[in-house]
Amino acid sequence: MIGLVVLMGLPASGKTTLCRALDRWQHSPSNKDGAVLVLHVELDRVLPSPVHLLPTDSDNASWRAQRRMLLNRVGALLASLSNGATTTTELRTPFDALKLDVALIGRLAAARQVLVLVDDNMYYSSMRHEVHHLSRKCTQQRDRPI
Amino acid sequence: MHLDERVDVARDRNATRPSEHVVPADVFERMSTKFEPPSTNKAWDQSLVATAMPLTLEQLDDKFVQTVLSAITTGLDADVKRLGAQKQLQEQRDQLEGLKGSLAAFRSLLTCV
Repeated sequence: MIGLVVLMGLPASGKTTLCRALDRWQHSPSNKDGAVLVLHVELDRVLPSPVHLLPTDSDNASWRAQRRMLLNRVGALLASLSNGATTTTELRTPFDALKLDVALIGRLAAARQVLVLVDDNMYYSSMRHEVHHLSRKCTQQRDRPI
Repeated sequence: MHLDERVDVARDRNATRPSEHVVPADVFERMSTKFEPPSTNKAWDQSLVATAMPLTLEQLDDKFVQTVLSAITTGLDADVKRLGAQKQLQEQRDQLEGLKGSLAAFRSLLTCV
């Protein structure tokens, strides 16, 4: 099972802190047999420019382009996972594009649940709808639904 | 997952972040006024709500994380439906129309030049 978890909330509401806690937890003994794999997509790392925070009249086009790029990258990752990709060859590109730890790919085969955490503000309802739509688009196989 | 923190708490936390992570005050205020909380009327916008997040990573203990994970796991039971072939076709058509529009704009620009 692949879970797409979208975090939303104001800046400093605890989104990244919670994601990091889940990320840390996956390496602890509580995560028996590595059953849960957490992939933390941290927007601030993927898009280092603060332009993603909020559009203004002057940077609206840039803001939209950056968001589109991020969603495309998340979509590529979801599509690969949904297609059953488990090897570094198959996943290196989407992992690198989202600045995810490539070492985690080795844990995919054992994982019963893969949680993709999209750590962003998502303050507009339309943003969340876009992600929901993306997950529908990327659901390829019945045995690995999103 | 909606982290429904009070605006004043988030504002104070933001102000005490390392400088490179501080969201400018004016941006923070605009975001707080524009934020659209999840709607229970829209199935795709229903969310888990976590409030009163501990302040630091160290304070997030195993029990808290397990609770969050159980809530997420419950949510995973509702997997999304694959987008229908018709809808995908329509999306491709829309993209094509968008490209045609861009091309037309480019042509008229060329004409002007």
